[in-house]
Amino acid sequence: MEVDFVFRIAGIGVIVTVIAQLLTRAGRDDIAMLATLSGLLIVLLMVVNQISDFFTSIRSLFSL
Amino acid sequence: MEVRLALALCVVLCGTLCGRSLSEGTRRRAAALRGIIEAVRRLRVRMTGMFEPVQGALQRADCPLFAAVAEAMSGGRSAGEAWDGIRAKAGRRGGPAEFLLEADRETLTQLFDGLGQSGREEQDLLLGSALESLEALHAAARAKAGEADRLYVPLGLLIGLMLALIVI
Repeated sequence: MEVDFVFRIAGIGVIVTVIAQLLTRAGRDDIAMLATLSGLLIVLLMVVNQISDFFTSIRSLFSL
Repeated sequence: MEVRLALALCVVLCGTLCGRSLSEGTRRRAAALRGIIEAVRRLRVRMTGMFEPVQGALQRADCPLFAAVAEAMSGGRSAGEAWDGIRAKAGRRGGPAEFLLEADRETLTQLFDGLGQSGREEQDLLLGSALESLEALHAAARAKAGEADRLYVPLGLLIGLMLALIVI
């Protein structure tokens, strides 16, 4: 996994947090919750391929 | 690398401009209400001070919406009937009442329904009451416009940044 990828996820996490804070301060708590969940979903989608590659590597390493 | 950076900057700029355009509508509503308030003040001076007839006073109130109502009054219609006739059209894209909300239009309906229907003192009261309602709506619109500016522009910028991070 490239280091860029980790920084990208960290950047998305920070931005989503700031968006959620902004929306909470504006009184839109429900949209803030949606924004947080959307950010989480986006990061999970980005990571799912990496996890899949990881399990494939483990399987090939241990010949499972 | 430079191309990616330029593309990322474009995406961030687009996000910011989208946020700004979302807040534009609320700002335009506040500006439209301000214009109508000034026009109602001029109308009050012309009708109760200079005893001008309704149609002429509306025409000379220096407000596109009032001018449209004055034009619709030709044919002997009252101000209320004229406003009823053009209300839907005025609220469409590019119309003089495009950015007004239903509450704003209701206040104008109450004003136009009473215009030219009673004596000088009653007209003065009607116009005074309409001014009060419009001032209250304008104050609320200004507060909402400030809130929208503080929310949508940074939100657009942040979403643009996030898209730039995800896509580029």
